Amino acid sequence: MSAAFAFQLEAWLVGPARPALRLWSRVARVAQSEPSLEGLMERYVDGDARAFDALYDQLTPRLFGYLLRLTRHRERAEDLLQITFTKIYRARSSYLRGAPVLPWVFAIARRSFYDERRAAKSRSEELSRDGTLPEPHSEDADVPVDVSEALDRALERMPETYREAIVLTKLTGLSMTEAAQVLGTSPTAVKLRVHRGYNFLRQELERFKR
Amino acid sequence: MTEPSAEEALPDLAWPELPEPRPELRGEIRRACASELSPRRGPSVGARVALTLALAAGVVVVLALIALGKERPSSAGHTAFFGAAGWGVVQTAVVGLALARPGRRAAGGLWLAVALGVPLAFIGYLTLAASSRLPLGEFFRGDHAGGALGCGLHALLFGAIAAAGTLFIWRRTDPFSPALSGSLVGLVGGLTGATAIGIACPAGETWHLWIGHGATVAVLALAGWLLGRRVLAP
Repeated sequence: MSAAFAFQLEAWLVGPARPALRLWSRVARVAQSEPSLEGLMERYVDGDARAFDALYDQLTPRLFGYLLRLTRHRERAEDLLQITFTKIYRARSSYLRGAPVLPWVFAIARRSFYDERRAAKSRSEELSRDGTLPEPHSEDADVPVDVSEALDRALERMPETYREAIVLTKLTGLSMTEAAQVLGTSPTAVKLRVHRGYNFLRQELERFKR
Repeated sequence: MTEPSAEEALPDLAWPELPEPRPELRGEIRRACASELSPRRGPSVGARVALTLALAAGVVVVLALIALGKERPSSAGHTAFFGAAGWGVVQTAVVGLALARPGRRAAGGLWLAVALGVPLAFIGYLTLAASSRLPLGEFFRGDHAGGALGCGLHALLFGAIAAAGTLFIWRRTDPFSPALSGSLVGLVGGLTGATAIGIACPAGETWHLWIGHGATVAVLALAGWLLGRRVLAP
């Protein structure tokens, strides 16, 4: 049987059913796709522990990345991740059903970070074991070795408002509207911060290339 | 301001990958947050809105019933009526458009303007609605000041009941801007107290209205700002 004949035969047999097959494959794709965060949160509120696992899997990479950028310290970021999930657990009955989960969770994480930073400021500076003040970091004096490190340094040097806007939209993938909700401002203000942040990065990286 | 273009977003750079926390952390968090889970259904948004409005209306109705037997000039009646109408509008807007949609409400600047502007507008309204004005010295010499203080304490008490009830109904619902939401709760609580005392007290003297009826709005808005972060944030 030639290939052309086989193609004709397939078209003759399957052709009329093609729209139905397309519809069926679309339904199957939707059924197999990840459940929405809002759906998972509602199941978690209803006491479903497996929904928590799925929520953790979907939220943690982005949330941890965000907290790590805010704190610039792995252990503190992990502590804050734990605090954030504990707050979600305690506040689950107050979650307004149907409300977008992503901005809600990121806002809780952000607030936890600022509360922790405020508390840390009020504590006296930690002394090292021999009772002296810790040495100041001399990272700024180092010269970055590649563009990736230069980018990292530039992100750290960037004004906090710009950095947060870029981390939320570029690294964690929130939309402008979601980032605006987390930051308590308008989407236009977030776009402006992102725009200025990119300009800052561009200038810093050009300086590195020179 | 349009979205940043793909080129502007520096796509060619090696943007850092999202890191993973240490694997043991998952178990620790799971133990704290997902072992022995029980359903924790809180009231729906609609139920919270209804409860808040019912609470505020209840406070006003109680003082209105107390005031029923009292003789009052018609000007005081008009002041109370328009004050109550204004309170109703602000109360409904704050509950329905701000507290019920914490992440999705309009930009914070608008609600900050409401939290600051409404107490000022209310004081302005009381000034315009006043029927007489005593010199300050005379106001403090006679028993006028005592009467105003009594009204103020009553307004504060009833306003605080409404505000505390509202804070309780909406507790832990706003991680976005809880201080601002707290201030709005204090504002509507203060307006509830002021409206209620406006219905119960027929006085029309300016100092009395400012101290006895108006001050509670500013006091409770400030208290709400301070308390909101503790009560409304998860």
